[in-house]
Amino acid sequence: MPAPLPRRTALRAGLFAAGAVPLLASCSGGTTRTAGNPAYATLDQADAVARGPVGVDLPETPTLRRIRGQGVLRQSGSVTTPGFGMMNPATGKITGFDIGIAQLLAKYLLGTPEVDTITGGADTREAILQNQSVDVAVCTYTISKSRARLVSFAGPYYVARSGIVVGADGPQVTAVRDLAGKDVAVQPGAAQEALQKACPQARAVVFEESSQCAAAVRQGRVQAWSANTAILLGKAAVDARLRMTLATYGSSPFGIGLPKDDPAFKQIVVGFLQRITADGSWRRLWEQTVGPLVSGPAPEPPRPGSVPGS
Amino acid sequence: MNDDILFDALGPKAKARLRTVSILCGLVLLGLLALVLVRLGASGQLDPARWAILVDGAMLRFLLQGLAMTLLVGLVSTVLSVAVGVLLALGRLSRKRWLSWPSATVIEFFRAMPLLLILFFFMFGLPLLGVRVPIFWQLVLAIVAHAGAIFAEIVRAGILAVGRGQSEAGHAIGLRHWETMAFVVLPQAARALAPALISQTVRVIKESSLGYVVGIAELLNNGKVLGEFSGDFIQAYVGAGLLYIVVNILLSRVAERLANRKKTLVREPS
Amino acid sequence: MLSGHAGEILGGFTTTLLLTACAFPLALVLGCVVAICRISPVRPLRIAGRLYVDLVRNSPLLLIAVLLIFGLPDAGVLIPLFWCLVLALGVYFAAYVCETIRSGIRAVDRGQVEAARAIGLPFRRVVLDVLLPQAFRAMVQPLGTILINVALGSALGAAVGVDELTLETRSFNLETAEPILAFAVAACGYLVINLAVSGVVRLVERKVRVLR
Repeated sequence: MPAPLPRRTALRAGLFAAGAVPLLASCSGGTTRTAGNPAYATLDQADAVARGPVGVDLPETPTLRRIRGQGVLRQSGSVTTPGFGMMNPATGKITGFDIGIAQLLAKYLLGTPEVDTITGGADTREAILQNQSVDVAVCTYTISKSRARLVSFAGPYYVARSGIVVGADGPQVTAVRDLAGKDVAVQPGAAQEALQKACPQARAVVFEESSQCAAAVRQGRVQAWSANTAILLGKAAVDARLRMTLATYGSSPFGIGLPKDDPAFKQIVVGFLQRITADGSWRRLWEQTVGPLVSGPAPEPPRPGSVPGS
Repeated sequence: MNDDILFDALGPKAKARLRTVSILCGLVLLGLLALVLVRLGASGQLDPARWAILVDGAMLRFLLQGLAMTLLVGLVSTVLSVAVGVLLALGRLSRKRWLSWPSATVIEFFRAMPLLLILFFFMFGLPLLGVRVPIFWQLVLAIVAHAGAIFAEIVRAGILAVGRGQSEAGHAIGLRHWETMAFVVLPQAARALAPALISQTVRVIKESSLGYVVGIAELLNNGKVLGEFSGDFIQAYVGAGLLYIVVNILLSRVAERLANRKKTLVREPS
Repeated sequence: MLSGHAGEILGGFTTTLLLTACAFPLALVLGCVVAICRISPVRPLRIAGRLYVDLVRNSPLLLIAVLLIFGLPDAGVLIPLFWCLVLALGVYFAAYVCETIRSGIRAVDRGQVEAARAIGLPFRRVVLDVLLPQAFRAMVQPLGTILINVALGSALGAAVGVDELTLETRSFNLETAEPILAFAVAACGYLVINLAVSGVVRLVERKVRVLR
């Protein structure tokens, strides 16, 4: 049954490498094929990282000493989140905004963007920071007061808005309150929190991965899917059976999670964020990762420390 | 085997009837299979382009890397959980209260918990005790705690199944309790436990699929990454599933053969 | 801290109980059917039964659940998530039930069957009055273990959108960042189920025990 098709796939990916990704929707509008967005394979933050700054005269802290001893920054991240961290299994390369921030940070601390990404669910981010399995967490990690008791946050480095996707012939949704009483697919973590805060009357149906959420909408198991707009646009653009609504809501301030016991290191990371927003690295990174998935100009980077808990 | 002594050998009429029934059943089963395939085909799941990820060399290599990690976790966890299981079982059967009670408690607790929760406990609890272990061992320790407790009960049943007379004989010739266990009872129990050992390995290999919680790149996790990247997650899961099935069936067959050989070796002297 | 979420967590516990209560009977029925297939003289059924057990027993439960939940709708069957998970648990544990039944039957001394047939009992009564009652005795303990495993397996609902105990405690943790408390509560829930099942198994075993 399976035919040898890698060559065709590669060709297609090459065509899309030209960059016109938002146009994709119109190209593949009629097909029933719902494979991943070829844009995932073409996003690349290497240039933004290569032009990122290197920190000088950083104060010694235990965490920094450990990272320098390892020669690599171990970070908790996702490899299945389009636009933020997505691994290409063929090359092992991870692309996205979050992984880009981690690589920039590694370059800032070590001089080289050496990053070791350890994946894990939303349940265990605090645990692996506390037990020092990782040095930092850059994983669509929403800053909150209750979490700030367990870990430190530097940031926000990004403020995500949630969007809503429905089936092509699904219900009219113009605002988040229209989700009341409906079954809404969400992934655990930031999306689930945002939905519960904005519309507690919606019935959250938790699936681990974004493809599963998309499939649940397509198959009519849920009436809507809510997530970060970058994730939604990436999926909805290539699937004619999904429709992105205009409604967006909430603001999830993503922060870099850090071990609680090293305030001096937090100051270094805050300094790093200020540096990359000031010198344009932040903007370049956005344009090379999330930018191609969402339309419009790059937003203003948030100011570190502007959110309770950070 | 009991299956064939339930009824007499079939006569020619019954044989003919059986053949008709067999053919009918076969047709019905094939029909059901065809129906499912047609339905899946209609919704595009059988489109060759969707299965392309499973014949792409690079993607396949990625899955096989996951399989290698799964086997590594499986191997280490099996060895450790068998050791832990035997020790716990002996502890529970010990005559010393201070040994048997804690053993029983540990067994009952870890047997009663879903592995996922044990994994969470280890991840959150160990740092509180000041213990830091690499993520590979966080997964392995959790599996060993769970599978070891389960195996302990299997071992205990095996030990209890060895006739009382055996241990009494051991005591009668002046062996201590642990000597009786080590030289008389355990070797006999071990023979009965050979098949259980394999199902233990299969269990552990399947349980290693929880590695995604701590971010171990094992088979199911890699299947998931592949599925998320390509969007064809059903196909990626089927691919991963087939690898699990092939490996586990191979394991079981090898084990069956080993067990059979052992059995004949043992029986001959009697 | 807990009191604000007691309702949800209790609800999750109830869902876990319901999942178990629905999936275990399904596994029993399905397991019996597969066992009958495997010992029947009809070859296609034997092969299908063997294939079923080999396929199901050797793949992780999560895989079966995901394939059923997202594969079935594409095969034209859309059933609610709760029942999908019940089906997945039932299908998965049926393979274990089947093997338990077979080894239970094998544990019966063949002389018993021979004796029953020698005194001229018809097939139906050989099976129902001699074979099965004795086989059942050997099956109580393993079936109890399967029941416990069904309850533990239902924790998988957390990954596939069923609001059972584990998912509710995970959400609780997400909101309050109290991981230890959250998972301790879940642990208590599973411990209660487990102890209850163990108790019942012990009772049944005492009932069916034969003093020799």
